[in-house]
Amino acid sequence: MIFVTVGTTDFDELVQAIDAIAPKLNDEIVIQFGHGAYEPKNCQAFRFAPSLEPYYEKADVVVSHGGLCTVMEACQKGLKLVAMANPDRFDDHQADILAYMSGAGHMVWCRSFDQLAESIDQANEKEFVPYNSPECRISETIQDFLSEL
Amino acid sequence: MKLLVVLGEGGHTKEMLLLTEQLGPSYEYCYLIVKNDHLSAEKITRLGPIHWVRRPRDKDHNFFIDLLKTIHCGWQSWKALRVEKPDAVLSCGPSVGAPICILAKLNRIKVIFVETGSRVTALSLTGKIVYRFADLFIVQWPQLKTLHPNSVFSGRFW
Repeated sequence: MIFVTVGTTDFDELVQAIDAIAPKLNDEIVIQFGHGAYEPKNCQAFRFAPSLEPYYEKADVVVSHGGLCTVMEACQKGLKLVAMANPDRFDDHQADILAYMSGAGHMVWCRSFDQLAESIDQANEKEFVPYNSPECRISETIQDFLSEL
Repeated sequence: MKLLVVLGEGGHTKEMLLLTEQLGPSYEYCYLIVKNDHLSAEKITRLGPIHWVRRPRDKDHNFFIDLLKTIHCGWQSWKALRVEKPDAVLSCGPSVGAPICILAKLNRIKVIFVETGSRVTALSLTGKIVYRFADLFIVQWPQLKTLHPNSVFSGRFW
Protein backbone atom coordinates (compact mmCIF):
# COMPACT_ATOMS: atom_id res chain seq x y z
CA MET A 1 0.00 0.00 0.00
CA ILE A 2 1.21 3.53 -0.75
CA PHE A 3 0.23 6.03 1.95
CA VAL A 4 0.26 9.73 1.06
CA THR A 5 0.17 12.34 3.83
CA VAL A 6 0.29 16.14 3.91
CA GLY A 7 0.12 16.45 7.71
CA THR A 8 -1.95 19.30 9.15
CA THR A 9 -1.54 21.52 6.08
CA ASP A 10 -2.58 21.27 2.44
CA PHE A 11 -0.59 20.33 -0.65
CA ASP A 12 -3.08 20.12 -3.50
CA GLU A 13 -0.46 19.76 -6.23
CA LEU A 14 0.96 16.61 -4.63
CA VAL A 15 -2.48 15.12 -3.98
CA GLN A 16 -3.57 15.84 -7.57
CA ALA A 17 -0.35 14.41 -8.99
CA ILE A 18 -0.73 11.16 -7.05
CA ASP A 19 -4.41 10.93 -7.94
CA ALA A 20 -3.53 11.35 -11.62
CA ILE A 21 -0.93 8.54 -11.67
CA ALA A 22 -2.85 6.25 -9.29
CA PRO A 23 -4.39 4.05 -12.01
CA LYS A 24 -0.90 3.28 -13.35
CA LEU A 25 0.73 2.56 -10.00
CA ASN A 26 -0.88 -0.88 -9.59
CA ASP A 27 -1.08 -0.63 -5.82
CA GLU A 28 -3.58 0.34 -3.13
CA ILE A 29 -3.23 4.07 -2.43
CA VAL A 30 -4.59 5.94 0.58
CA ILE A 31 -4.32 9.74 0.74
CA GLN A 32 -4.57 11.95 3.84
CA PHE A 33 -5.15 15.36 2.27
CA GLY A 34 -5.55 17.70 5.25
CA HIS A 35 -7.06 21.10 4.53
CA GLY A 36 -6.66 20.69 0.77
CA ALA A 37 -9.30 21.91 -1.67
CA TYR A 38 -8.75 19.02 -4.10
CA GLU A 39 -10.50 15.76 -3.17
CA PRO A 40 -8.98 12.64 -4.78
CA LYS A 41 -11.13 10.68 -7.20
CA ASN A 42 -9.01 7.59 -7.86
CA CYS A 43 -7.87 6.69 -4.32
CA GLN A 44 -9.23 6.17 -0.84
CA ALA A 45 -8.85 9.50 0.93
CA PHE A 46 -9.55 11.32 4.17
CA ARG A 47 -8.68 14.71 5.61
CA PHE A 48 -7.55 13.88 9.14
CA ALA A 49 -7.51 10.94 11.52
CA PRO A 50 -6.89 10.69 15.28
CA SER A 51 -3.70 8.75 14.46
CA LEU A 52 -1.87 7.87 11.25
CA GLU A 53 -0.17 4.85 12.87
CA PRO A 54 -2.50 2.25 11.30
CA TYR A 55 -1.65 3.62 7.85
CA TYR A 56 2.10 3.76 8.51
CA GLU A 57 1.97 0.14 9.70
CA LYS A 58 0.31 -1.02 6.49
CA ALA A 59 2.31 1.16 4.09
CA ASP A 60 5.09 -0.21 1.89
CA VAL A 61 5.97 3.32 0.80
CA VAL A 62 5.00 6.68 2.32
CA VAL A 63 4.76 9.77 0.12
CA SER A 64 4.63 13.04 2.01
CA HIS A 65 5.20 16.76 2.12
CA GLY A 66 8.49 17.94 3.57
CA GLY A 67 7.12 18.77 7.01
CA LEU A 68 9.66 18.13 9.78
CA CYS A 69 7.49 15.95 11.97
CA THR A 70 6.25 13.76 9.11
CA VAL A 71 9.71 13.28 7.62
CA MET A 72 11.55 12.60 10.87
CA GLU A 73 8.94 10.28 12.32
CA ALA A 74 8.79 8.27 9.10
CA CYS A 75 12.59 7.98 9.00
CA GLN A 76 12.76 7.05 12.69
CA LYS A 77 10.23 4.27 12.03
CA GLY A 78 12.38 3.01 9.16
CA LEU A 79 9.63 3.61 6.59
CA LYS A 80 10.42 3.90 2.89
CA LEU A 81 9.76 7.61 2.39
CA VAL A 82 9.41 9.78 -0.70
CA ALA A 83 8.94 13.45 0.18
CA MET A 84 8.40 16.63 -1.78
CA ALA A 85 8.97 20.17 -0.56
CA ASN A 86 5.76 22.18 -0.46
CA PRO A 87 6.71 25.44 -2.24
CA ASP A 88 3.93 27.27 -0.36
CA ARG A 89 5.92 27.09 2.87
CA PHE A 90 7.78 30.27 3.78
CA ASP A 91 11.27 30.54 2.25
CA ASP A 92 10.63 27.15 0.63
CA HIS A 93 12.21 25.90 3.87
CA GLN A 94 11.12 22.28 3.55
CA ALA A 95 13.89 21.79 1.01
CA ASP A 96 16.42 22.28 3.81
CA ILE A 97 15.48 19.17 5.79
CA LEU A 98 14.85 17.12 2.63
CA ALA A 99 18.29 17.96 1.27
CA TYR A 100 19.93 16.79 4.49
CA MET A 101 17.89 13.63 5.02
CA SER A 102 18.05 12.48 1.39
CA GLY A 103 21.75 13.32 1.17
CA ALA A 104 22.35 11.10 4.21
CA GLY A 105 20.49 8.23 2.53
CA HIS A 106 17.47 8.17 4.85
CA MET A 107 14.77 8.90 2.24
CA VAL A 108 14.08 9.90 -1.39
CA TRP A 109 13.61 13.59 -2.19
CA CYS A 110 11.33 13.94 -5.22
CA ARG A 111 11.86 17.36 -6.80
CA SER A 112 9.13 17.44 -9.43
CA PHE A 113 5.69 15.93 -9.80
CA ASP A 114 6.57 14.15 -13.04
CA GLN A 115 9.21 12.16 -11.13
CA LEU A 116 6.77 10.79 -8.53
CA ALA A 117 6.25 7.34 -10.05
CA GLU A 118 9.99 6.91 -10.59
CA SER A 119 10.70 8.08 -7.01
CA ILE A 120 8.21 5.57 -5.58
CA ASP A 121 9.91 2.78 -7.57
CA GLN A 122 13.28 3.99 -6.29
CA ALA A 123 12.07 3.94 -2.69
CA ASN A 124 10.68 0.42 -3.12
CA GLU A 125 14.01 -0.92 -4.30
CA LYS A 126 16.41 1.12 -2.17
CA GLU A 127 18.10 0.07 1.08
CA PHE A 128 17.90 3.19 3.22
CA VAL A 129 20.45 4.20 5.84
CA PRO A 130 18.77 3.90 9.26
CA TYR A 131 18.17 7.26 10.95
CA ASN A 132 19.18 7.58 14.59
CA SER A 133 18.27 10.83 16.38
CA PRO A 134 20.98 12.45 18.49
CA GLU A 135 20.38 12.68 22.22
CA CYS A 136 17.96 15.50 23.08
CA ARG A 137 18.99 17.72 26.00
CA ILE A 138 16.82 20.71 25.07
CA SER A 139 14.56 20.46 28.11
CA GLU A 140 17.55 20.10 30.47
CA THR A 141 19.14 23.18 28.93
CA ILE A 142 15.96 25.16 29.50
CA GLN A 143 15.48 23.82 33.04
CA ASP A 144 19.05 24.81 33.95
CA PHE A 145 18.45 28.28 32.52
CA LEU A 146 15.16 28.74 34.38
CA SER A 147 16.60 27.46 37.67
CA GLU A 148 19.06 30.35 37.67
CA LEU A 149 16.39 33.06 37.35
CA MET B 1 7.22 29.51 37.46
CA LYS B 2 4.93 30.28 34.54
CA LEU B 3 5.82 29.66 30.90
CA LEU B 4 3.90 31.13 27.97
CA VAL B 5 4.31 28.67 25.10
CA VAL B 6 3.71 29.68 21.49
CA LEU B 7 2.16 26.90 19.41
CA GLY B 8 2.92 27.63 15.76
CA GLU B 9 0.72 25.01 14.06
CA GLY B 10 1.55 21.60 12.60
CA GLY B 11 4.99 20.24 13.35
CA HIS B 12 5.93 23.43 15.23
CA THR B 13 3.13 22.71 17.70
CA LYS B 14 4.38 19.15 18.05
CA GLU B 15 7.91 20.36 18.86
CA MET B 16 6.68 22.69 21.59
CA LEU B 17 4.31 20.12 23.09
CA LEU B 18 7.09 17.51 23.14
CA LEU B 19 9.12 20.11 25.00
CA THR B 20 6.39 20.79 27.56
CA GLU B 21 6.10 17.04 28.16
CA GLN B 22 9.85 16.86 28.79
CA LEU B 23 9.90 20.01 30.95
CA GLY B 24 7.35 18.37 33.22
CA PRO B 25 4.53 19.41 35.53
CA SER B 26 6.51 21.64 37.89
CA TYR B 27 5.88 24.66 35.66
CA GLU B 28 2.63 26.47 35.04
CA TYR B 29 1.77 26.68 31.34
CA CYS B 30 -0.28 29.02 29.19
CA TYR B 31 -0.45 29.13 25.43
CA LEU B 32 -0.55 31.45 22.45
CA ILE B 33 -2.24 29.80 19.48
CA VAL B 34 -3.21 30.98 15.98
CA LYS B 35 -6.94 31.66 15.76
CA ASN B 36 -8.93 28.62 14.53
CA ASP B 37 -5.99 26.25 15.01
CA HIS B 38 -8.10 23.88 17.10
CA LEU B 39 -5.86 20.95 16.18
CA SER B 40 -3.08 22.50 18.25
CA ALA B 41 -5.38 23.24 21.20
CA GLU B 42 -6.65 19.65 21.22
CA LYS B 43 -3.14 18.26 21.48
CA ILE B 44 -2.18 20.17 24.65
CA THR B 45 -1.45 17.78 27.52
CA ARG B 46 -0.11 20.21 30.13
CA LEU B 47 -3.29 22.24 30.41
CA GLY B 48 -3.41 25.98 30.82
CA PRO B 49 -5.20 29.07 29.49
CA ILE B 50 -5.14 29.67 25.75
CA HIS B 51 -4.86 33.06 24.07
CA TRP B 52 -5.84 33.16 20.41
CA VAL B 53 -4.01 35.47 18.02
CA ARG B 54 -4.04 36.31 14.36
CA ARG B 55 -1.30 34.73 12.20
CA PRO B 56 0.99 37.60 11.09
CA ARG B 57 1.82 36.09 7.68
CA ASP B 58 -0.19 33.89 5.37
CA LYS B 59 0.69 32.15 2.12
CA ASP B 60 -0.47 35.19 0.12
CA HIS B 61 2.20 37.74 0.86
CA ASN B 62 1.43 41.43 0.76
CA PHE B 63 3.78 43.65 2.74
CA PHE B 64 1.16 46.16 3.84
CA ILE B 65 -1.44 43.57 4.80
CA ASP B 66 1.20 41.46 6.59
CA LEU B 67 2.21 44.59 8.51
CA LEU B 68 -1.37 45.21 9.64
CA LYS B 69 -1.74 41.56 10.64
CA THR B 70 1.53 41.71 12.58
CA ILE B 71 0.36 44.80 14.46
CA HIS B 72 -2.94 43.07 15.28
CA CYS B 73 -1.07 39.94 16.42
CA GLY B 74 1.18 42.16 18.49
CA TRP B 75 -1.80 43.79 20.19
CA GLN B 76 -3.33 40.40 21.01
CA SER B 77 0.05 39.10 22.23
CA TRP B 78 0.43 42.16 24.45
CA LYS B 79 -2.94 41.46 26.07
CA ALA B 80 -1.86 37.85 26.71
CA LEU B 81 1.33 39.04 28.41
CA ARG B 82 -0.60 41.49 30.59
CA VAL B 83 -3.07 38.81 31.70
CA GLU B 84 -0.60 35.95 32.23
CA LYS B 85 2.55 37.78 33.42
CA PRO B 86 4.74 34.76 32.57
CA ASP B 87 8.30 34.33 33.80
CA ALA B 88 9.40 33.31 30.30
CA VAL B 89 8.08 33.04 26.75
CA LEU B 90 8.95 29.87 24.88
CA SER B 91 8.70 29.92 21.09
CA CYS B 92 10.05 28.32 17.91
CA GLY B 93 10.21 29.36 14.26
CA PRO B 94 6.80 30.49 12.96
CA SER B 95 6.05 34.19 12.58
CA VAL B 96 3.36 34.11 15.27
CA GLY B 97 6.20 33.94 17.82
CA ALA B 98 7.95 37.14 16.74
CA PRO B 99 5.65 39.83 18.20
CA ILE B 100 5.33 38.19 21.61
CA CYS B 101 9.09 37.61 21.86
CA ILE B 102 9.76 41.28 21.10
CA LEU B 103 7.09 42.46 23.54
CA ALA B 104 8.34 40.06 26.23
CA LYS B 105 11.87 41.39 25.90
CA LEU B 106 10.65 44.99 26.15
CA ASN B 107 8.87 44.04 29.38
CA ARG B 108 11.90 42.24 30.86
CA ILE B 109 10.29 38.81 30.49
CA LYS B 110 12.83 36.12 29.56
CA VAL B 111 12.74 34.94 25.94
CA ILE B 112 13.62 31.32 25.18
CA PHE B 113 13.65 30.46 21.48
CA VAL B 114 14.08 26.97 20.08
CA GLU B 115 14.64 27.18 16.34
CA THR B 116 12.54 24.57 14.63
CA GLY B 117 14.37 21.41 13.60
CA SER B 118 13.26 21.98 10.01
CA ARG B 119 15.91 24.73 9.77
CA VAL B 120 19.19 22.91 9.07
CA THR B 121 21.45 25.42 7.30
CA ALA B 122 19.84 28.79 7.97
CA LEU B 123 17.64 30.37 10.63
CA SER B 124 14.00 31.23 9.99
CA LEU B 125 13.15 34.94 9.62
CA THR B 126 11.68 34.87 13.13
CA GLY B 127 14.85 33.16 14.36
CA LYS B 128 17.07 35.81 12.76
CA ILE B 129 15.07 38.54 14.50
CA VAL B 130 14.87 36.87 17.91
CA TYR B 131 18.53 35.73 17.90
CA ARG B 132 19.51 39.37 18.38
CA PHE B 133 17.92 39.57 21.84
CA ALA B 134 16.83 36.13 23.10
CA ASP B 135 17.98 35.21 26.57
CA LEU B 136 18.38 31.59 25.46
CA PHE B 137 18.52 30.67 21.75
CA ILE B 138 18.60 26.95 21.01
CA VAL B 139 19.31 25.41 17.61
CA GLN B 140 18.76 21.78 16.66
CA TRP B 141 21.54 21.35 14.11
CA PRO B 142 25.26 21.85 14.82
CA GLN B 143 25.67 23.70 11.51
CA LEU B 144 23.58 26.53 12.94
CA LYS B 145 25.63 26.65 16.14
CA THR B 146 28.72 27.24 13.99
CA LEU B 147 26.99 30.10 12.14
CA HIS B 148 25.45 31.61 15.27
CA PRO B 149 27.92 31.25 18.13
CA ASN B 150 25.61 32.75 20.77
CA SER B 151 23.18 29.88 20.26
CA VAL B 152 23.15 26.58 22.11
CA PHE B 153 23.03 23.17 20.42
CA SER B 154 21.41 20.60 22.71
CA GLY B 155 20.49 17.82 20.33
CA ARG B 156 17.23 17.42 18.49
CA PHE B 157 13.64 16.42 19.21
CA TRP B 158 13.79 13.93 16.33
